[in-house]
Amino acid sequence: MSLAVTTDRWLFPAAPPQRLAMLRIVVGAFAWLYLVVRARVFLSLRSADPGRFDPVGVLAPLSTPPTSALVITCYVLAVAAGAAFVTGLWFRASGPLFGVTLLLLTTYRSSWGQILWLENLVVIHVLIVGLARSADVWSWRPFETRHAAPEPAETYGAPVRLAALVTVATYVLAGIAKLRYSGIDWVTSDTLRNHVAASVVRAELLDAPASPIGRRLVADGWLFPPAAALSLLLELAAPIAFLGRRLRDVWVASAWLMHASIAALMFVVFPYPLFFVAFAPLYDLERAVTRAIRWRRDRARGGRGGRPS
Amino acid sequence: MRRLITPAVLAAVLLPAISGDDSFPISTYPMYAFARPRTDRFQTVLGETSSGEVGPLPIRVIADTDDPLIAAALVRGAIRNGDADQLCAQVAQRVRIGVSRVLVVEEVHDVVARAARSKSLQQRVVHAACEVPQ
Repeated sequence: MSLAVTTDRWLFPAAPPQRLAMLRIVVGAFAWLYLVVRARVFLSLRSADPGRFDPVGVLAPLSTPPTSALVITCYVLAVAAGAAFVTGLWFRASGPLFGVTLLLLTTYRSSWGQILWLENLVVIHVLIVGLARSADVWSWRPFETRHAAPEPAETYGAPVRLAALVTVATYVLAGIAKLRYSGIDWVTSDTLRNHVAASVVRAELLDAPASPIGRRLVADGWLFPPAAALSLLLELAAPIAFLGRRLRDVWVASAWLMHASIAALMFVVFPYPLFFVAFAPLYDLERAVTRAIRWRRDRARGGRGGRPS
Repeated sequence: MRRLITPAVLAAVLLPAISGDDSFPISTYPMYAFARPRTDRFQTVLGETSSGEVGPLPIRVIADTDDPLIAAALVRGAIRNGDADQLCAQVAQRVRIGVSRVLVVEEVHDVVARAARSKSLQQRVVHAACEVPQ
């Protein structure tokens, strides 16, 4: 088989529709909850000083902030479309609508002098899933006749693979950024230690909670160069997640540990990877559901006295 | 069509690795990527009591937010754009009882010393000071 054919099959694999549907539910539920929980943060910006507005991304052409009514309309649409996205209701409309409104709201949020990188990957994933046929199964269709689930196809596998590639790419990009802006000094110098110490100081100077673990560990400067080397290696080596299940699990566990350490040391929380949702496209998600159903069935059978042989 | 979308999305996501342009949601992901010296500058807003004690104000009072990054960006932007007086007046309107004066400042600290609760302040520049309306 030629390299072109192998690459093509890898980039556009056939997968059951349940895999993409499960990704829709997981990614959509996270994004919807995030919007609802952070409602105040999004909506309070309406009263911010317009002079602070520094638009980025799709809002870059704007010279003034969008009106309050427009922000509220976008937020309400996003919440409604998000609920439909998760349930799969009217997905041809709700999928793209949730993607676009989420993009607009998060871009708006990052247009006040501080880009919030923790939201980038969620938005890209929602756009990928929202523009794919992610609700062909496991969706609520009150006015449609049920049909048998479609066969595995690349229509369902390609968006999942693309979402996985984007997850991995973001880690590689973060590693490249460190080398671009600091070179190998990022590992060999005290940069990581100073970042942790600075996060403690910044929090204190803003009368916000500072990490006691970060404060304690900053005293042990020798810890940080090895930690920096491991972090950089983890980011640059992210593509190993595609080299088999074991390596994928090791990389995902390591990446999760890195985010957990950042949260513990700096009180900077990246919820998307911490809740494992960022890594969801790397897994055959539908198998978890199938296993859960089988487990419940076996348990019910066992409960009736009919122990499975 | 799918044969075009996947490479196009990947190219868009990876482009910042070459261009170095950080935006949203297409980004270089530069979190903590910049070299950070042990001595660093911080912008904040302080409250001064009538007895002369000075301490930081909560981010809710400074920026009406619960996000330290937003609050830090607000103060940094106000100082950079010459709007420190305006910010000072806004904070003075929100400040709690017991504070008589608000100061918008830039401070230089030895971050490692400060984290260890040692003496760390090396410089303080007051960009704006305003009385709290009684």
